[in-house]
Amino acid sequence: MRYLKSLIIIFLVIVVVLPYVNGLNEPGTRTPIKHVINIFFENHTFDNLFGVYPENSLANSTQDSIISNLTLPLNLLGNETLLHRMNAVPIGQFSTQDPIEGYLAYHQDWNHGMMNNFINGSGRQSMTYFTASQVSPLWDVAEEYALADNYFAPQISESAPNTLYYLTGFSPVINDYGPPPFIPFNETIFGELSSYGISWGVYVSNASSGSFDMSQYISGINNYRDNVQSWNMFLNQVRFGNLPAVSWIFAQDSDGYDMGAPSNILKGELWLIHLINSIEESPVWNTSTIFVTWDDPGGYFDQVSPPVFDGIQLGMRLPFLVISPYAKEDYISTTLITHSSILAFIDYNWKMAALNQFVSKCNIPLDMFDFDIPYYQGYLVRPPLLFNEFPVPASSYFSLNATFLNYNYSSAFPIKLQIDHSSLPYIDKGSSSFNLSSIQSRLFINRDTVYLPISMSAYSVLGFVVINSAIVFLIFWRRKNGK
Amino acid sequence: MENKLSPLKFFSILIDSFIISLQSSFYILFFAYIFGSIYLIGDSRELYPLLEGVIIGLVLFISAIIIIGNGTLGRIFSLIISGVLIIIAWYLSAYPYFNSPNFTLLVIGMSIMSPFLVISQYFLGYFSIRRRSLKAITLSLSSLIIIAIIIVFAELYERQGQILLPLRIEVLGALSILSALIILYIKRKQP
Repeated sequence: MRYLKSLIIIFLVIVVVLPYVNGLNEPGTRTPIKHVINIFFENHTFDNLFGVYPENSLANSTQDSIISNLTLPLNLLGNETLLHRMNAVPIGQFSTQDPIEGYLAYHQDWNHGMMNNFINGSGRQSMTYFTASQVSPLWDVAEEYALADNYFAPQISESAPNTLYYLTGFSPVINDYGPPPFIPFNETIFGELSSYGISWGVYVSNASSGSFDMSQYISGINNYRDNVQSWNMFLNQVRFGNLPAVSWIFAQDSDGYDMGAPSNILKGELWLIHLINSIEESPVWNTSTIFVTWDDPGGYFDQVSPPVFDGIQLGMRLPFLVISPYAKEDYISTTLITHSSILAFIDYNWKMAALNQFVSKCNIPLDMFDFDIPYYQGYLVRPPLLFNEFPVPASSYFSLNATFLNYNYSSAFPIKLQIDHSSLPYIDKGSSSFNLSSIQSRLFINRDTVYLPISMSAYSVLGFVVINSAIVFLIFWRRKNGK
Repeated sequence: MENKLSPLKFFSILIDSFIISLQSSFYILFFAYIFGSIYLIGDSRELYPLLEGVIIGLVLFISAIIIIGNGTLGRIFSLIISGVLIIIAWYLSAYPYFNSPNFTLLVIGMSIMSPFLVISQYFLGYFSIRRRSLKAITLSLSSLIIIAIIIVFAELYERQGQILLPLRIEVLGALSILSALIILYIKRKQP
């Protein structure tokens, strides 16, 4: 009987303890980061949102002193001639007319790298930029954490190819058409994470369909519908500390959270701040990093000619923010990076093989972090910092009322830095040329493939051509032979 | 009086033109699809230079057919020209970083119409249309129908969010096969 009792107790202990042991047994990480949170917006270039960062023309002298300490990225402030050709979005206005979008429009804008044809390509409305009166919330985040000024869209094109590079490190399409072709699930970052047993989740405004931005291109993603959840579920998981290792939060929504013109960008900004504040207040903050970026340029002007990287002509420059207790404060990274660099970071952090050849070549912006040097006041990591200099919504689903719209946002930038600029244990600008191929990382996928199923594919179109040609040939053959 | 086009004859020409245009459109859009240039029709600004090329191509090919006729030599010549133009269309479509895009689009639009040259030559022979004036009328009507098909195709493609591209070509393919089967069936019925 005693043996039986002992066995029952041992069994119960195992049942209770095993899930925790299993949880602890997740593959180790190379950095203290245990949660990568990716937040994805729509359609803005670096110059459109950070073109005059950090100059606040309405700022008083106290703020000036901090501005003078900030590193100036390559932006419109360095080019007065260019700045005068452009239009600042007026104070009190938070949107612009939608620039003309499209593969061809963007190529016209780009004009073989001369970046001088935006008026003919995306239209006059492309030559606009936002100021502290609209984007102070974003600028505050950039000031407190790290901003990249050399981050490019993977393609001179629209959402589909760029988002696919964000999720798979390649794209079978060069513009917004399809599917087909379809990308096999196992060739995406979701497939790689699943194969390594690393938890992941995708969060969307409405999770009922189980789909997310460009998920229609991924064949087999429907088997992972449970991984697609709502923004509220994300916040719950953050609050209770049970967030997956890697999360993607898509702002794409019909209610204008995604910042894409002609939406009011304030809505997306405040939504972002609500998420950041929620994460900073949560148990996952100490082990998290948040990567914020935009899918494509949306037709807005940017002055920097995108380089060719690993044989691929990159697209326009986009903003990229890193928010983390390990992110360097007030830091500008000049590392040449693109959407797939985020995949490279994920692969690096969880000691996985590089998702594919392109990902293995992408630089990883490790310079934006400081994983070694302890911060002030005894904290090993930077303590949470809430952004509340302006009205912040209480929920991730909200409407822009007068409280939000009438606030003087220019007064909210800059904010007091968490660590005094002069005490920073690093210089406030730098770069990194580290990538997975430099550490001889294996490749998870040696060669990217795409699925073209018989239904609605090039093959079935070809089938129609063959059948038609055969019948036409028969017609002429019968005629020739007098049958 | 002999040159006057009777309503019955006109109807017959209209049917012939419709078959030529259906067959040509299917092959033209098939090539545009496999070259990856078809998505260019999704933007009205891109559509205009493409249509200019389409119209120029059609006018050139109609003139060529009327001048060179549809004998064996003419057909061989057309096959060669068509092949060369298709290769040009493929090359330009595969070269994504073109500058002066409108001119390039125009050339793509013109070159990719070359299947019309071959198809219409064969069908004119099949339909026994020998008089130059009838050829001109038939080919002009076919051209107008092709342009209409491309515009409707582009409009539907854009309105429905630039999706289901292969399905639309398949529908066109099914109609082409149907028209070919009808010709085959009618021929069989003839004594």
